[in-house]
Formats: sequence, C-alpha cells, structure tokens
Amino acid sequence: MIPLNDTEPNRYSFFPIMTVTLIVVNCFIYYVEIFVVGADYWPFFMKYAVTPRLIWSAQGSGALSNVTAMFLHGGLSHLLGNMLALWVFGRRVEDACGSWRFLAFYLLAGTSAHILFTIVQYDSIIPGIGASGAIFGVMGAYLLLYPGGRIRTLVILTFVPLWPRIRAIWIVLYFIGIQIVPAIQILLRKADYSVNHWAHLGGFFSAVFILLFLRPEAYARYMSDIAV
Amino acid sequence: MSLSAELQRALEAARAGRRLEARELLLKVVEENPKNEIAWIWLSGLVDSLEDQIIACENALTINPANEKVRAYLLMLQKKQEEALKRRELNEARELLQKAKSCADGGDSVSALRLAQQATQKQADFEDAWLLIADLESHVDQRVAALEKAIAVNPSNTNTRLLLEQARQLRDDPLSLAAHYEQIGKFDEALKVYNEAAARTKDSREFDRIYKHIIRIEELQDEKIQFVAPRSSILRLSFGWPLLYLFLVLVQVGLNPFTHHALLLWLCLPLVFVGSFLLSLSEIRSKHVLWQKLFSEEGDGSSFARLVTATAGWMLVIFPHLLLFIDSISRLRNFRIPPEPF
Repeated sequence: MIPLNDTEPNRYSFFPIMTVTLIVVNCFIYYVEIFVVGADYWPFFMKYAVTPRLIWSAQGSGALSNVTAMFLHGGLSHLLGNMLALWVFGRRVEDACGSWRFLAFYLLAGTSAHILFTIVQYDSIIPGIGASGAIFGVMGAYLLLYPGGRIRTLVILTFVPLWPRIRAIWIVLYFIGIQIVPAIQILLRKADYSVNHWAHLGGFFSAVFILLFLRPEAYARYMSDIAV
Repeated sequence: MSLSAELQRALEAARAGRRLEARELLLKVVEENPKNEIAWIWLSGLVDSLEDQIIACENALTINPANEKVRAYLLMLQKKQEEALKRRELNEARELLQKAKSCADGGDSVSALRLAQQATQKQADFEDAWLLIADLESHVDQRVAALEKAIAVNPSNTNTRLLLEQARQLRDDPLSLAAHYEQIGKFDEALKVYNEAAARTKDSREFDRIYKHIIRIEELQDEKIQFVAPRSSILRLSFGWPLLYLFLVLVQVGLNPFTHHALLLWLCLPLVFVGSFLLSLSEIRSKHVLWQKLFSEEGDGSSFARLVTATAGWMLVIFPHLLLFIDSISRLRNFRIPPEPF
C-alpha cells in the first residue's frame, strides 16, 4: 500500500513551499551523503545522527544532531518513501499552518520522535536517521485535521495494480499498526530492528501539538468540528 | 362724554377686574385717539395674545420713546415670545422625530430620514435627530457629518464619539474597520462594511480583493464557525516555538537538566517565548495594548509596526537557537568518535 496523492485542493495558500523545500533539502543532503561522505559513514553518522547513548551522556552534537538526523537517509528507497509521504500528508497540513509554523511543527515532531527513541532505547549505540519520525507527526496531524480525508493509494493485489481513494484513517492506522508489534518487541525483548519504530510512534504522538501551530481560521474550523 | 372720561372709566373697570369691559373701552379710546400713550400701556396688559401685547407696547413706545419702563416690559415680552417660539419648534421637532422613529421601525428608512432631517431643520441642536440621521444615512460622508453635528451638540457623549471614530475609519480606511469587526466576531458588521467598500471602489483589483473577503466571511457564516478571539490565538501561537526550543535544549543537556547544566540555554527560553509572542502579534490583527505602548498607535498595528514587531520576534526566536547550535558545534570539536561496534 503506497499513498500517492491527496486530491483535495488547498484552502488557504496557493503552494506548499515549505513541504517542497524540505523535500529538496532532503534530496540534496542524500546526494551529499552518497557522493561526498561515501563509505566512511560511521564518523559522519556519529556526529550527525541521533545516538541514544551519546544523547544521554551529553556527548556529540546534541541538539544539532537531532536536527541533522532528520535530513539523513539510509538508502534511496528510504528517502523516496519518506518524501512521498511528506508530499502526500504535508501539503495540506502546511496549508492549515502556514509555512514557517509548519517547519516548526515538523522539527518538533522529529525532535519528539528522537526523544522517545532515546528514552526507550537508552543504551543503544546504533545511530537513528531519517525524516520518518517527523513525517509520522505530519501523518498524525493530517488525521486530526482531516479525519474524512481520502488519499489516492497504490494497492497491488497479486499482480493487479489498483489506485483507489482510501480514507486517510485506514492508511495511517495501517502504518501505525505495523509499528506496534516491533515496538513492543524492542521494549520487552530488546529486539534489533533496522527500522526505528519507537521514533515513528514518538513522532505520531507529537501530532497533538499541531493545535499550537494552526493558523487562526483553521483552528476556528477545528474547534467548530468542521473540516479544516 | 369726553375722551379722558372714557379712559377714566376704562381704568376703573380694569382696576375692578372687569377686563373685557376695560379692553373694549380702551380699544375705543385708541381708535379715536391713536396717540394716547396711557391707553396703549393699559391695553398691553389687557389683550390676550402675546403678539397683541407687543403691538400695544410698541405703539406706546412710538408715542413716547423715553418711557424706559415700557421698553423693559417690551423686551421681556419679546423674550417670552422667542421662548414660546423655540418651545413650539422643539415640540414640532420631537413630533417629527417620533414619526421618523416609527417609520424606521416599520422599515421605511427613506421617509424616516426625511422626517429626521426636517426635525433638524426645526431644531438645529437636536442631538437625537442627528444620531438617527447618522444611523439611517447610507452615505458615509453624510453619516460622518451628522455625527459631527451630534458631537458638537453634546461633546461628552462617549458613545457618539466612538461612532464618529468608526464612521471616519469607514470613510478613510474601510478594510481596516471590516478587519476589526472580524476580529471581534461581528461578521455581519464586517460584511456590511466590505459591501459598502465594494460599492464605493472604482478599482477592479481592489473590488476583487474585497469580494474575496466577502466570500470568505459568507463561508464562515454558512459553516457556522465558532468565533475565536484574537488574543487567545496570539497566546496559543506563542507556545509553538518555545516548545520546540525546550525539546532541543532537553536533547542538548542529555534529557536531564540536573546532570548537565546549561544555564544560558535555559535562560533563553523566555526570550523565545517573547519572540514567538511578537511573531504572533505581528500576524494577527488585534487592538493590543502593545501597539499603543510601543508605537503610540490607536489601531491594530500599522504595517510598519507589524514589520518591526515581526523582525524583533524572529531575532528573539533565532538568537537562542543559534546559541544552542553554536554550543553543539563547540561540543562536536571535543567529541571523540566511539569505535564502530560491527
């Protein structure tokens, strides 16, 4: 199940400038990662990714690594998946917030994701990278703001591709649902996953903070129980 | 019977309280001898109407202009006549205003306006009539003129002063007034002002801009959107950036503020809050006390005031974040990279 696009138009602004900027910056940094850093990735990630043990001991670049980690990706599919989700869910969330407040919310969601990851996997030396924590925050915000929203989604059943408009709640629940079991296993059995499930959950829970970033008109609509 | 004897009889009748008889006799005396001063003086006290009294006095004074007592009496009578005239006009004006109000209540604002204007013609300093005209007048210039007349009659009426201020704002900057009505949740008033502004503008771009506002407010009304006061929006939006900064500082100090001190970073938190508050203030139109305190402005912040506030806000938000990242970079210089576990 791959979300492709939200077909509903923007209400408040013409163009999602910050969403597009974030996508461009992420792609550019991935290019730097691949072609400039190359194979010597370990020192680079130690400096610029989130490593719980380093965070707890206040070593490394702390807050800076927390931000830089949101722009690092482990592979092309990791980058493309995240950027597609950012485009699908971010556009209308940015529309409801305004560009700069959307950036603040995006960074806040990413930071919340890293904080929960650092608390749960406190002794991990594995660096956490990726925009997915922040993007899960954006997905959660989308669900809060547009509960009735529908997303054009690519579904491949056997060999037949379908692209129905599925309710966002089912897509978000699907993506959250697949985090729960691995997250519990990490918590109880210290299972080792290459995906940062707790960061995803941390980002998702931070979606409640979206109410502090909504533009007044969107907030009034939200409070009136009307689609934002 | 001689004339003086007739006058004598008239005076006796007047003294005895037989006013009609005395008046008849005196009229006969002045008919036969119009230059009889005494007869005119007595007659002025016996005729019924104020106008006849004045005529009798004037005749007496024509005969003897040196009679100061009669002159003083005439002045008193003339004053009395003026007061009576004013009283009559005031009563007529009140009646007209009453009719105007009835017409206005019945929805006939054209007749109501005409009657109220007639009332002000009868009584130029009739405050209520001017206020009714201001209320009924569709042209903003005439509304301002009516309110100026009302405030000239009663300068201590604060409500009229407020109405005049709003009418002047409507005349000089209608969009700002409409925005103000929107801020305080008076969508009907805002819509009225926008409609008036749209009717008055001759610029098609300006019309499009106003039309968009009208559509937006009509949508708000159709959707029955709950009103959120600008002050609560400013407060709500003030918390976003400080929360991000708080989380970043927590990450910087190892999620435990008690083991790794960073006093300067914590002290910057209120700065971020103030910056965030200024940013929100610059964005949301509101008659805030800060516009008055910082820029001596009565309204909801001029473009200049907003620009200055937004710039100050951004500086206060960015500066602590810069400090935080400088601290991160300085830590990175002393950082010894741990060996790869794999």
